[in-house]
Amino acid sequence: MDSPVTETRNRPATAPRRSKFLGTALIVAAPFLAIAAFLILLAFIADYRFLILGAVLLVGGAGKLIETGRRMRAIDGWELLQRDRRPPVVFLRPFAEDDRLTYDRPLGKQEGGTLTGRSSQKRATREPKIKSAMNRIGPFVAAGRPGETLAPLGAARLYVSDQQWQQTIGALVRQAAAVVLEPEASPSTIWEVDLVAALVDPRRLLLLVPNPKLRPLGFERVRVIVSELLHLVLPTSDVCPPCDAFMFDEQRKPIPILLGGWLAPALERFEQQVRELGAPPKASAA
Amino acid sequence: MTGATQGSFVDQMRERVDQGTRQSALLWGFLDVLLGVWGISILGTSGSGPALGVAMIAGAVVGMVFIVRWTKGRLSPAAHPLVTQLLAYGDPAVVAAAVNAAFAGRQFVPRQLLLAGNWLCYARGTQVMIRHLDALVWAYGRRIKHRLNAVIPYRPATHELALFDRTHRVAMLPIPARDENAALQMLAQAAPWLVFGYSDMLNNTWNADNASFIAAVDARHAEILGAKPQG
Repeated sequence: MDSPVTETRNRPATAPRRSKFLGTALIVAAPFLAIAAFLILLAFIADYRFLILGAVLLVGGAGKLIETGRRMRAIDGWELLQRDRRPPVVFLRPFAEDDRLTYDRPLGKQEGGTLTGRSSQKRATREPKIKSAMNRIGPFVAAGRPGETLAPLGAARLYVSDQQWQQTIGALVRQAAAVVLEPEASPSTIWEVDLVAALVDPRRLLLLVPNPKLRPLGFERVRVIVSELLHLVLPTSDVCPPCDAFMFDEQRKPIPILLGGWLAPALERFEQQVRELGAPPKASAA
Repeated sequence: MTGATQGSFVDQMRERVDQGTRQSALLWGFLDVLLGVWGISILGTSGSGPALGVAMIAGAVVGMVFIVRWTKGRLSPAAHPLVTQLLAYGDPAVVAAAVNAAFAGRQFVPRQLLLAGNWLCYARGTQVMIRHLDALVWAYGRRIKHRLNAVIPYRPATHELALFDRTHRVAMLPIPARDENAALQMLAQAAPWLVFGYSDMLNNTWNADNASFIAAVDARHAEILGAKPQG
């Protein structure tokens, strides 16, 4: 998380815009709006190239509207925890990961040369890939970034003030069935890593890491944090197979996991391991 | 402008860039006048309304204002592209003197990557680049395919050298294909600590772990400096 631990930040809990009605209306209306706009284009434009361009833009616009609708319908974390009484799965990550994009070209301020168009970009977060598997274990929740206007898709967001977040996350991690951790070197994430080291059985931990074959330096940075703070040993990037995450067995041995497409059952083994462990000790005591 | 003596290396570069600016301004100015004349001729023809002709004349006037301002800006001492390049390393006069000292006795050659001491220079048309070797972190050659609608080739592929520096400036230097390898080899000999070549891994690392990328280059630089025999 960004750094609510610093004294200069004292943001109150905020709530993003949510409306099931408006969200559903957007999702339903988006395709019809796109089709209507395309028919209008068809009436006025004869050049097929502009029609193709218009169609592409309209499909993109409709997709954006549907995504906005889905985000407006996203369930609030507190409501989810009320509704689903199983021990939660808590997602801990730096807030910056929510917005991080990947690009197919290196970024920089270009001087001279041929302009080859904009680099295509996509969101780097792996949250959507793990969401359904985590929801099968328990309600998948994460702290929401204060001030965001729409809740992201993925884990249900819990919006808490800067003064409350450590207490809230601490309480959730204590009773969590599993914890998904994306370690980074920011102060707040380091606090979360320390918390996980103190409270979480490594068998309940899913560690999201940069793929060592695509980001070896990022992987090494995370490997050092994990080794020093969690006392878990990951293989070095040169010997590690391509992977996006690690789970740990009873001997604290790391098992690499490559998150594939929507249908790839990459997390089945982790789900099974967590189920076999049963309810977390703190939750049973509670 | 830079405190360099007349005919010095930096002055030769400036001369070349100014010449490119003037040629470019002339070319665009000529095309702009053609647009205006075309607009006037459309105004006089029957059939098409005056709107298109007026729009073309207005566009030509706006274009001419832009061309004049762009040219004056590039030729002015304050916003000259060469001064902008020198400013990145401190006082332009001091940096120009350092570049001149490194290239003492050498003639400037356009469209070629020139290296002397720790300075790397290039100029072609309106483009000019001056880089200190220590500022660079990554270099690779790229081949650009020129295709209409991304399908139909309309001119042969061209080659460019991409030079990334630690402040995220990327100099793309059009260079003849036959010179590409030689330029990269020259760079590899002068600055072996740089990262050379392109891959998805390097792209991802540059974009996502930029500070680590630069730190790794610096570590390699320090290692090479440490391994060099002293004296």
